[in-house]
Amino acid sequence: MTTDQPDPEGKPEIFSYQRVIAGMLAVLLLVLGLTNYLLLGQQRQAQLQEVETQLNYQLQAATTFMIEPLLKYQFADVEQFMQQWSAHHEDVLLFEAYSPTGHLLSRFVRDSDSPFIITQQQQVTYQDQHLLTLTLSKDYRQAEIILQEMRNRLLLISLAITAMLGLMLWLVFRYLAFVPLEREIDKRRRAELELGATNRELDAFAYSISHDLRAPLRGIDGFSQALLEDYHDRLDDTGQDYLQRIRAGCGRMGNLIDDMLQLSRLSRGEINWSRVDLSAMAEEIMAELQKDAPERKVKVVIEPGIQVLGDPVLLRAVMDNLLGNAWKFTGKTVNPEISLGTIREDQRTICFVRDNGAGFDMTYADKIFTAFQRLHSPKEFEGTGIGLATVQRIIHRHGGLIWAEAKEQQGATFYFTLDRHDPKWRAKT
Amino acid sequence: MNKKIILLVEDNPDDEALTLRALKKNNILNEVVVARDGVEALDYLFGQGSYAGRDPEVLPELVLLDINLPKLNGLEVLEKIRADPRTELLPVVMLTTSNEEQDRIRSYHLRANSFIRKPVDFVQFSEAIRQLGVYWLVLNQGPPKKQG
Repeated sequence: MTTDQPDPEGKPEIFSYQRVIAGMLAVLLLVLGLTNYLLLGQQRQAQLQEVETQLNYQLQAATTFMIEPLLKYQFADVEQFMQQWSAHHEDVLLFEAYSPTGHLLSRFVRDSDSPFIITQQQQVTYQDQHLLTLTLSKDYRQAEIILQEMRNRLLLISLAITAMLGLMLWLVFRYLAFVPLEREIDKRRRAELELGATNRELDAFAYSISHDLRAPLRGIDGFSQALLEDYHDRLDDTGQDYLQRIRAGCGRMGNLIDDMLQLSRLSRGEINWSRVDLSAMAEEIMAELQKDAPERKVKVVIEPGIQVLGDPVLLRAVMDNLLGNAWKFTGKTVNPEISLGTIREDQRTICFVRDNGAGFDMTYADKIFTAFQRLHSPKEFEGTGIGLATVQRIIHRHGGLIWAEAKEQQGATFYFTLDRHDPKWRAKT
Repeated sequence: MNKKIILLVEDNPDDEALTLRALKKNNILNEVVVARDGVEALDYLFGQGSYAGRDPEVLPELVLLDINLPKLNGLEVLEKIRADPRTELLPVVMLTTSNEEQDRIRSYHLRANSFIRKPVDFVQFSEAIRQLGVYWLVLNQGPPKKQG
């Protein structure tokens, strides 16, 4: 058994905001990454230029120290200066000096595994006279380390920005998406509570109707009967007839109260969904009707194995009413016939209860499901006019449809569906 | 001491008159004690309040108990009857206008012996009372009397 399921169309899109935020963050990360890449590239360019300038400046400075000894051909001093200067600058990996003739004057070499090496050559001239060719190689790892630190810092800042923005977006979306949803839920909960209160009031109302209306009715009926029994010798036929009419009225009102109670009771409460064998149910009801009126001869045709989904108690009330009506309205028919069957149409099953009884004028077809509307006088056929209203309400609560086709004196057919996902049902409501 | 008393708990004087009439019409001539509300019913059973001095050892053969009563309702009266060792086995028939499923469930939970809905039609009502009388006062063997 399942309970009443919530409408799938009513379910709001709660979680799409997460996708939106993820998308926005991805775009943001892409933008930040691109910015960082460009920024870092620019920075590296500047850093390299700086390294180069510095190298150039150092070469220039070194040269000024070497010009004088060179001019004096004091090569030993030049050699000494170069070695000392190189040793002093820890980032110098290679410092060579060649004479214009290609003769190596001095070479300083320092071992290094650094991949960041920059090399520059410089012609040392004095008054247009070529004196020396210098080659200087330097390790600019330090600059690279600075760049790396910068990159790490940028990455960290980018991630922090993304995270903060993500959080902000999440809060904003939560506010935009959740708050109205929560309000909606609150509203629904309140409506449900109100509905619950209304239902409880209705219950109390039904209860008091059941008790407070029936009790005086029983008094009227009982004392009328007491008059008939104890004072019949003092009442003429007309007086006794009046008392009988009073009692008949009481009986009708009692039935009316019971039917109203049933209508109100069956309209509330949960639907307990389960598989129901309508055919077996109909057989049972027809057997009971036959037992109560054994003298009647009615041809009953019930299609076997009609299985539907619905609430067994509520569907019993539907079948009781429809078959009871068929039984009632064939009461004055020659060769009465009552049948239960199904029609397949557009992938849905339509059940029908058909009789060849009194029928009704189709002009009033829309009235027959309205409470207290009757198409026959109580003299012709008894009834309270609540049965079909109850049937319609139950069918609607199952998400189905009910309609009737009839012709006066030729019978009536009541069609109903119980398919809660019937597109026609949605279209018609 | 061999009299079989019926305790009728009924607040509606019309219903009281009709019930008494139905009993009489069906030749059920036992003594009928009428309590008009739940408190009076318990006072009678336990010999207290307005019934102080009544011997609570003498219990009715049958209690016909309405549900909708002033002060204590029928279900509360039934609960108190079942909670007391002197009356826990007393035959109690709920005789009510109510047809509420909840009342029926509650009654049986509280160990009512029977649940009868009063019909509006007096002929049917009278028949119900007749059958009740025959069943509970003639056919049925009540719980054994306690030795005091």
